[in-house]
Amino acid sequence: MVFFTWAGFDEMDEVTGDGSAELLDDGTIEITVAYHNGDEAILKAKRDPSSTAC
Amino acid sequence: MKATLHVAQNTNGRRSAIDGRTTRHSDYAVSQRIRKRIEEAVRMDQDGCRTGEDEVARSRSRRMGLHLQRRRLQSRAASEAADGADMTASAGCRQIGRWRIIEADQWDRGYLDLGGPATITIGADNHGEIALAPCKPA
Repeated sequence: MVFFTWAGFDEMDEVTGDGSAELLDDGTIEITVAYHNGDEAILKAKRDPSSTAC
Repeated sequence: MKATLHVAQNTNGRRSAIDGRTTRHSDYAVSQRIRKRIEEAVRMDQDGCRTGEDEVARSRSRRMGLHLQRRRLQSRAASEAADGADMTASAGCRQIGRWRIIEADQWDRGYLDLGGPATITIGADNHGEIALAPCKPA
């Protein structure tokens, strides 16, 4: 599991937060993105074919 | 000097701190028109995207830089077996690379890929990026 902090822009608003990315058994990762204002989003991603694991 | 912010309700499915108590007033509609004029005039091109024809995609983009914390990389098994245990780099780096975001609890696939593939990049240098509904660089 990877933990991270982040900063960026949400529709032109400057936002910050933290989150984590967890590798699942099916090879995908589940990403939790928590905004510091309390909102949260959960994303699922699969490896880009052009990007290989190290 | 007295200044009042032009706040806007988030209407993309995410919870918004601005509810009907604010939006029901006619002044809110006026504020939104003024806010749009200000943002167009200032060209808040914060993430290096084209303006003009890409206005919609640009204004809806979400771009976030990541900073990994203390390289706390753990395999799932290690995480479940011993909370907080460190992991070897070879196992942790399975998450390093570029990933296509295929699902989100708040946005449908069409929105995610509005301006191109939505991606998360986890770098080996403790940095990364999430780009949702990204726009094309200028």
